[in-house]
Amino acid sequence: MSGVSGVSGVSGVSGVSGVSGVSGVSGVSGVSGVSGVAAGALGGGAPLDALIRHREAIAGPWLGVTSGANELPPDKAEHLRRSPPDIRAWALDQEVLSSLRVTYDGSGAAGNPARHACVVWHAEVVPPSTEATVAKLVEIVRPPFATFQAQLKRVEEYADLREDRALEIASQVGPQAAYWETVLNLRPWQHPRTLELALLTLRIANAVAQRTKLILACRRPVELSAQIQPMMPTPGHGALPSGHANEAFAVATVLGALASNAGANASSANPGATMMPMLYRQAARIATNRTIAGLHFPVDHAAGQVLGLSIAEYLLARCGAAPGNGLATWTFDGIAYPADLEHEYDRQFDATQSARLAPGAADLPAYVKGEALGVAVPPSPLLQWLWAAAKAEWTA
Amino acid sequence: MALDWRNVTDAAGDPRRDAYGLPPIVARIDPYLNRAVLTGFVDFEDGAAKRTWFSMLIELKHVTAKQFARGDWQAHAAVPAGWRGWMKIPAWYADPPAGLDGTYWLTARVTDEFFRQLHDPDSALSRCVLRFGFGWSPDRGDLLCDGDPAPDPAPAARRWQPGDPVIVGVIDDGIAFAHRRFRRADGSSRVEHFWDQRERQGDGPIDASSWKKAAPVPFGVELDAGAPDGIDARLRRASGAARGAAGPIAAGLLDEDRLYRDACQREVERRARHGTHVMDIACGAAPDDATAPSIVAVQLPRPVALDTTGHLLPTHVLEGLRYILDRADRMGGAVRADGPVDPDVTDPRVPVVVNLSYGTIAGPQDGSSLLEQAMDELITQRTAAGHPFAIVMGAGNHLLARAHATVSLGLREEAILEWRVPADHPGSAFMEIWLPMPSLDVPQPEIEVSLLAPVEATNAAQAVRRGRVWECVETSPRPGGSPGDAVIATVDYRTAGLHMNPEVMSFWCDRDMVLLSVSPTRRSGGLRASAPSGTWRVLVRNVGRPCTIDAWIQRNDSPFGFTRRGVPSRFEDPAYVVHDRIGRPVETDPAVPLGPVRRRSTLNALATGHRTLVVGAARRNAARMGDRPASYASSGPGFAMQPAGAPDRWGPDAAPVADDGAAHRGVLGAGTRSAGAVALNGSSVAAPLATRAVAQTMSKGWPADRPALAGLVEVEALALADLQRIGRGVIDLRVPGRVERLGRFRPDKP
Repeated sequence: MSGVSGVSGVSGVSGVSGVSGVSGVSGVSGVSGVSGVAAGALGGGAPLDALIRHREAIAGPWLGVTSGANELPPDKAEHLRRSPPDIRAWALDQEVLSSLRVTYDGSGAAGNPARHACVVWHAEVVPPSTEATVAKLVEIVRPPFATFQAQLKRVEEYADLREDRALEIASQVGPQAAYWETVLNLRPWQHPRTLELALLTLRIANAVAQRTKLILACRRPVELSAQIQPMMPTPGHGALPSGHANEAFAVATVLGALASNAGANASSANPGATMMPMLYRQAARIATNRTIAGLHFPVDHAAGQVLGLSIAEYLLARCGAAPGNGLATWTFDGIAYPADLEHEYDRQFDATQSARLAPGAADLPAYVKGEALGVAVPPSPLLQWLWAAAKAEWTA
Repeated sequence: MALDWRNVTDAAGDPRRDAYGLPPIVARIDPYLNRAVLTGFVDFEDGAAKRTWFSMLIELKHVTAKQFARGDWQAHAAVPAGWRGWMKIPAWYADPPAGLDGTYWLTARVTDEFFRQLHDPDSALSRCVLRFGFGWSPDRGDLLCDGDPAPDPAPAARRWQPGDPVIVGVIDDGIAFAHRRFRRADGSSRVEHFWDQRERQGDGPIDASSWKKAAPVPFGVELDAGAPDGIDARLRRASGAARGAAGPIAAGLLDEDRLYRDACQREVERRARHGTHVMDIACGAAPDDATAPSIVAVQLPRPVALDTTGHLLPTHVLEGLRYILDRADRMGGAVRADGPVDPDVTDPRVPVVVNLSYGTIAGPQDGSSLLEQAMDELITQRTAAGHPFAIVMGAGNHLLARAHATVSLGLREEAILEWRVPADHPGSAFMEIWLPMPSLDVPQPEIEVSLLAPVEATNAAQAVRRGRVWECVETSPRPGGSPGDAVIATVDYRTAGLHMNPEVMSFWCDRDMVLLSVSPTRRSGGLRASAPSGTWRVLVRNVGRPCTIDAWIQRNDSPFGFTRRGVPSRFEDPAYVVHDRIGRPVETDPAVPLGPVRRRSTLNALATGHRTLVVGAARRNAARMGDRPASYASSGPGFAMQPAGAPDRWGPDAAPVADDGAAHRGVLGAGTRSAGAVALNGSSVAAPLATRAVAQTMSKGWPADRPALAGLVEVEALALADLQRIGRGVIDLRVPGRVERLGRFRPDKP
């Protein structure tokens, strides 16, 4: 079994184990032969041969079951702490993703044959029951091709800033831990579970977005002009929704919920607070930097923001951090998106720029709609465990 | 090193001065010209090669430029026959643009005969010439066009109508005129006229046989938008269509490298050049912007742009200004003095605003220098005739250059200024010491100046008195060199005195000035001696009544866009505190300065005229009220031009934002190729921002004078120290069509 290796760095979720401050553990590398090296749990490791000889020397005659261990209770979330973060990540991911489905809806609404939509569902079946709980979380409607063609001009304009932003762009390809740290004063040794939760958010958001991109199949700027010449290789998956926007806004929301009520950080309930506006500005900048790099259209980030905020809210409900019946169905209508519009991230937030506008709010832009969800999303004990551990890191 | 100081005040018998016919009266010769002759033109690329032609900037008296150019010198003595053989005056003086019939400043190309004529104080020329300065000299006489006005072709179609945007003129170096920011949506160029003041065509001299006597410009090359071989034609030739391409790419895709190569424009090979950036800020626009103005651009010769001492600049700038006005009038279909009349045009009154992003450090700082007075005259006369006209300049970036020192000297008191001259510098170092204006208390300030080399040397000190010129030569034998090769320093104590020009009802006092120079410290490996680097000492001794003197070290840094040529010289002052306790540069002089070096009165020495619009550089702060002067922005006050008067200029008129933030230097503007952008800062960038604002003001029919510019200020300066650096305050004008560099997070943005 190899350690969890990230998907290629370009997608923005690379090296999950790379945030080494969290666990200090690299994956267990494969072992072959006596002379192979097993990496021990505390790093460093002792060569296989040494361990064999060591046992031979000190174990002595066999005396049977002599430890005082008793049987473990099954299906306990706290067993998670027996594994390192990058191993339990598999279990957590499976827990979350097993209730998320992504489908294509080409049926059109109001008889528009060009309406192509991708829908993200909470779809939970708990066997042996065959009853399913189904709730529509997000719908992303693909913009018309003419919109992307019109948006290309924006990509070209933003290229003026490549030199300005080159270092930022390069350092924001993977998880932007340094940037979260600079706003929230995250310390890897003080907030390991927080970082673990942030990385979980990235992975879930990425998985959903990748499935969505596959369905919507949107062209990248480099495919519309040979003059764009992005400053790094363009990924193979589709442009909309933007992975960076999706992940950045999702992480910002989750970290913001964690860090609230902490004595050192202002809470989002405090109207003058700067924490959430800073986190969201940061997310917007991370997204815009991808446009500057020549990899995305501004509309990609508008859609990614809708998706990311929704995924975060869903995750928080699954963590038991927010009421499960407070979710909404959010729609990004790419057909209603003005063709030459830039990514106006602030239009989706309230006046304090700390929280999303309520579904049905009059201030929402025409291309974003929200409707309260009539279905309750239950929390997951595994996620509740992780949430509680992370939250405990933020008490003063 | 054996050094010797020699008196070269008297011209007679010195082969260097005789070769150029310089008259014995030192006071009439531009001190920089005098020094160039003494050193054998050390700062010119071809060194001591005998020059045939000099570019001159001349102030006339008793006769207007128009009369003078037409040969009507209004002098009692006879006009010398054949004067057109040794003095070539461009056509736009004999046939001036509207409103400029009564000007007294002109430019010309002259031979040494010009100077010989000045030997005789009763000659016709002596009666006409008040003072003159010299510029860079083309060394090919056959490149110059004759002074006779070219016969006018049939009037071209009018390219400017009343109601069109104000015409923007740009005088700069490295202008990529084919950039898409200067073109319209149909691909045609907004640059109606482009004058490249160069001497050479490509890598070699221009083919003289193809040069016509009746050339449209006195030297260099002109490209018109619509001419057969003009800019639009070249754009088409360099586009895809010319190579058989079809479809939407044919018209649009441009091989810019090829276009500039075919036009012999090597000045835009680098990815970023000053002139292109400045022109974009001043009048660049997206191709579909219908409000974008027509442009007349002048590209300075490379040696002039490269020499940041600026003493070659005035001639070429004035020529450029005349050219811009002449062409603007033609675009408006103006009536030409001797040419065909367009019956549909009465008096177009073409509005023009010109951007000049150049500056120096040393000068009188009172508006009396040649170029300042010439510009004031143009603005005054042109606007008085009902033609809106403005010239916008930057206030300078020399606050921290340690290039200004001031010393108060009591009776017989001495002071030493320490002049740190860097090693291995390819250019000369200059210092100008200006004595105060004569007054009732001190009718004739006078000092003695000694320049001491930083080496142990025999005869290393020589006190130079008023009216004398001394040179310091290296006496080690250097066989085969010319006399100028041995000169490593000069001191020229220039007396000026009272000037009167009754026709324009002005009188003003020159102030005495001492020009000190140190030859390049770079070893050229040839016959030329190099000056020793290190701390030269200027010993100043008062031999008159108590007075205060000011010294400026002339600018000599590496201009943007050229290969770096070393750091400039500066004053050395142990009492000058460079950084504060946390490492920021100190931007204000202490209340009681303990040493001579000052940050105040470091304005661009070309920008203290009375009518020019001068702007400083501001740095934007994320919170708008925090906008402040850029850390390098020069400070006033200027000096008074009249005896017992007040300075006309306390600082710039206003300050546009030239730095987007402390970490985001500069303002984004065009690189030399259409896909590029680059951020440059400085008052060079503030000026075109103001040019853009002034053009908008002018287009509404409002005056475009200094009060009007100050009226555009949005954030007022609060402290006196800021007033001297940002004038009335900050103007936040952004260039349209450019992306918001810092993003849309600032609370003031909607």
